[in-house]
Amino acid sequence: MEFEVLAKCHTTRARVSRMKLAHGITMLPTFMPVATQAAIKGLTSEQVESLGVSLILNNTYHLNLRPGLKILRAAGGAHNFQRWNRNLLTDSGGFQLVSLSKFTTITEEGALFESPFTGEPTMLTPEESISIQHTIGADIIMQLDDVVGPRVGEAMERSIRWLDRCIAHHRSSGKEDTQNLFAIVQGGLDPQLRDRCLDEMIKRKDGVAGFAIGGLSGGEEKDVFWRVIKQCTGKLPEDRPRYSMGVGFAEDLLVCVALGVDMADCVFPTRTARFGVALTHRGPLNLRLSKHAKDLRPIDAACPCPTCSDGTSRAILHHTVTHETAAAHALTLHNITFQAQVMGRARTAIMNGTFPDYLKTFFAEYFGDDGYPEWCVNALQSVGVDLLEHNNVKVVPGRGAKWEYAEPL
Amino acid sequence: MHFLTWSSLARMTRLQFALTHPDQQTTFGPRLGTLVVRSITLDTPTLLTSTSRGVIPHLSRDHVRKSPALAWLHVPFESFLEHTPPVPTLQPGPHPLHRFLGFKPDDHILSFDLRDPADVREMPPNGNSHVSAMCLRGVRKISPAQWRTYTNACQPDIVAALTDTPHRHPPFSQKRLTKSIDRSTAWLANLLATDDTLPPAPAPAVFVHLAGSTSHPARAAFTASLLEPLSPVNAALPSLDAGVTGYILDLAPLRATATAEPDSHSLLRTSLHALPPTKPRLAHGTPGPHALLRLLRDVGADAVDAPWAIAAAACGVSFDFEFPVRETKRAEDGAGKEELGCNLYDARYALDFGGLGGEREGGCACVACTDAQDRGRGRKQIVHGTDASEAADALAGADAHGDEALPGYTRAYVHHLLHTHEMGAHALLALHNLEIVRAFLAGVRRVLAADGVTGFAREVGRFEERYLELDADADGGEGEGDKGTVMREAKVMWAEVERARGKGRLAREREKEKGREKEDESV
Ligand SMILES: [Zn+2]
Ligand SMILES: [Zn+2]
Repeated sequence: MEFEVLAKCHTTRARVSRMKLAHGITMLPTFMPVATQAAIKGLTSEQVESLGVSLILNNTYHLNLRPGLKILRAAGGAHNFQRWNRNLLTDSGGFQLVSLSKFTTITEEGALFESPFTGEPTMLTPEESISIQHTIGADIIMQLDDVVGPRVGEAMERSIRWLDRCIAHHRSSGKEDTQNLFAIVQGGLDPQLRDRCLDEMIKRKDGVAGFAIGGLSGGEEKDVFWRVIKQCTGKLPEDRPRYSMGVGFAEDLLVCVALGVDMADCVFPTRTARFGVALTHRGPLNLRLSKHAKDLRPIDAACPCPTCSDGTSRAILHHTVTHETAAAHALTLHNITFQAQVMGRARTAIMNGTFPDYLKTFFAEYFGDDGYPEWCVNALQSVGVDLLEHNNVKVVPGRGAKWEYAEPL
Repeated sequence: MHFLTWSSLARMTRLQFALTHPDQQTTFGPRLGTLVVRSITLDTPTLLTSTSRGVIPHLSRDHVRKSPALAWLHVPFESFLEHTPPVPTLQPGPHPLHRFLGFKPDDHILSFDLRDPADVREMPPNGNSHVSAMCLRGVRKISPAQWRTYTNACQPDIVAALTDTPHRHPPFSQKRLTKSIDRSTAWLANLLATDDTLPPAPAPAVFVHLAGSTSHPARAAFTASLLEPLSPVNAALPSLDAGVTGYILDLAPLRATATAEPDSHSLLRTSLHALPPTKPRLAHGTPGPHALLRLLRDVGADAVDAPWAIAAAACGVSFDFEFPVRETKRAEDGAGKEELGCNLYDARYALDFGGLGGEREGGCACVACTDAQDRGRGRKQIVHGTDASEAADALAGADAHGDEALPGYTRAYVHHLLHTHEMGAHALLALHNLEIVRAFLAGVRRVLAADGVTGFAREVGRFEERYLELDADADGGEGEGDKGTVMREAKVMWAEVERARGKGRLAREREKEKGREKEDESV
């Protein structure tokens, strides 16, 4: 990996960097759409690429089940299998293992689970996770981390030991030139545990190409979330990309960028598209609502996505969402473009030295009179941006009201 | 009813059709022609594809545009009756229907009908002044006057006059058939009439469903009513037929009454017998390529739909057939007939890294089989942010690391998408299957041009010898006679995956969604 920071925000911790991997350059900060099963819901790889996306995510747990390694090996890796010629990231498979399979037990050796194929007890070790990711062939691969439940301290310590095993296995594989291993910082919501994990993992910097911030996006208070992110980005080395896992709402993305995060992923933009929700700079539009039935305007007249630039009306989307997969495709094209645009504008603003202004404009347009989420105000204030300056907008505690009706639960 | 002015000239220039081979200008039999609408010229016989709720199932607009198979789109209007007035009628500007649905006036011909030609479910009876149509909110009654209004507002290229199809079980009584013919005639007259008391006559070319159902006498009577001279005092039109640009042949309702194919053809010939052979014939509802070929051979049609192409895509079947059949590597003699496609759910494709098109000469030209090939080469990409130079670098980077032409999507990949319940599978298969049908019809035209009617009949015979018929209507059970089993098998496997992946998870979400939708409607 070649990684170069091109510009830094004079106020916040935001930065623009250039990450060159085996399948081309990805400009950071960026949002990664999730192609769990080696496909972005309903779209071809060519379509995804045409939206200006150069890095997507595959889930190791799912690909290991289907198509399975034998087929991926025969196909020459996941890039070739899904005809994706740009950069690809895989997770370790550990998180989904714990959340999707029965009877997972974590031992020092690895994660013991019931094989979905045979029902036999099966072990996913750190080495095995790396091997599977080698077969998949992603440009960025993740260490196996211990993410189980309440024993946060123990899990964090084990994640450090497993990182060592992952580094050793990755080094011995000879894949270091084409595949890049990321560490995952754990430590839950406890600042002291986080600190210890950061120290230990940063010591291993030479063995890793980047750092992910794990153990978040699990329903914790947003006010805790941003503090952990800030603590991590404050310590992580400048010359390594930072990846915040499972972050996808526009306001979360921008706060993370302001706190110094470079990469994020989430299934939300593509999943919500299937349920008829279009993301816009004025907040989400639920196209199932009957108020859109006769609205001949596009979702966003200024949006460069194929759906909006073609003038696809809200009315025809309303007519087809949840009935025709073509409507889901139209909204997925739009939502992925929206995410890329939020991040692209952030990059532009950082390069131009206007990122704090961008944050203010974005929040004003996006939340308008609905009020700003308090945690965003606090988080941005902590890096020198006062959203409320010259602005009488109200502040809403909790997550903020904007998503209430748009997010299908 | 008055026909005060006659706008046939305007109508005729909307759509021009000519049979191009002198020896094929007979009433029955295969024929070559050209159909011109605006700047669009289609060689016939050509494919027309029906939309569902206004969209081509599974395809985004960019994929529709990249599919040469999709030049003529058919729009059943009934789903839009959920709102009053129907929303497409609110679209301002020229070519409002094209614009509303995202089709290009320069590339796409749009035909317009009230009902979905494939829907043969029993419906509440029509009245003397209304047709019952179906939308999500239930049955809607549409009058001929409303139909004129909607047609005027939408400006399709072609409009079908309302028709009274009896939907109860046959045999239909003489009285019912007489009523059906009288109504269909009156409604056509209404669409053609120009009268100050009515909204202006629609500009689109008017096509008429050949009514009469399963009765030869009724069909002959309907044709006679089209040709009957109109009173010169009241009418500017010599006959209703003079205002009609083309004829619609409906096969699905005949199949629904268990009419055998030869009998259906015979009924259609009865309808066409006295009508001028030079007008275009549009056929809805052939059950597969074999039946399509026989319809062309025995009756003659110029535009045909192939709902089975998308139906096959929806259940995981990838077409692999050609017309004319090639002599090549035919499996050893006596190996039996081949299926028209592959059930890509089948485990045998898990490691099949061949393309969807099998070993076709020159490969398949569809987006699924070719799209990946010309990536990065000046392909338009959205650039986000001012890092345009970096993005250009990134593109160059893609070139630098090889950019070796990726072949199209493989059977193994589509197999994987099907088993993981990914919608992309159906998009790729719809793109592919439609292109296979387009190429199939291009083959029909090639054979007709080169070898004429007899050569065509010979090739139809060879096609029938090579391939099993498509079991498009099959829902399970045993295969029969010359019918294949590929659709039947695919549907069973589709249902299994749907149960495991869809019903287990997505259906529950869907139920939840339904609950939410109700709440939303009340917002
Ligand atoms: Zn858009
Ligand atoms: Zn193809």
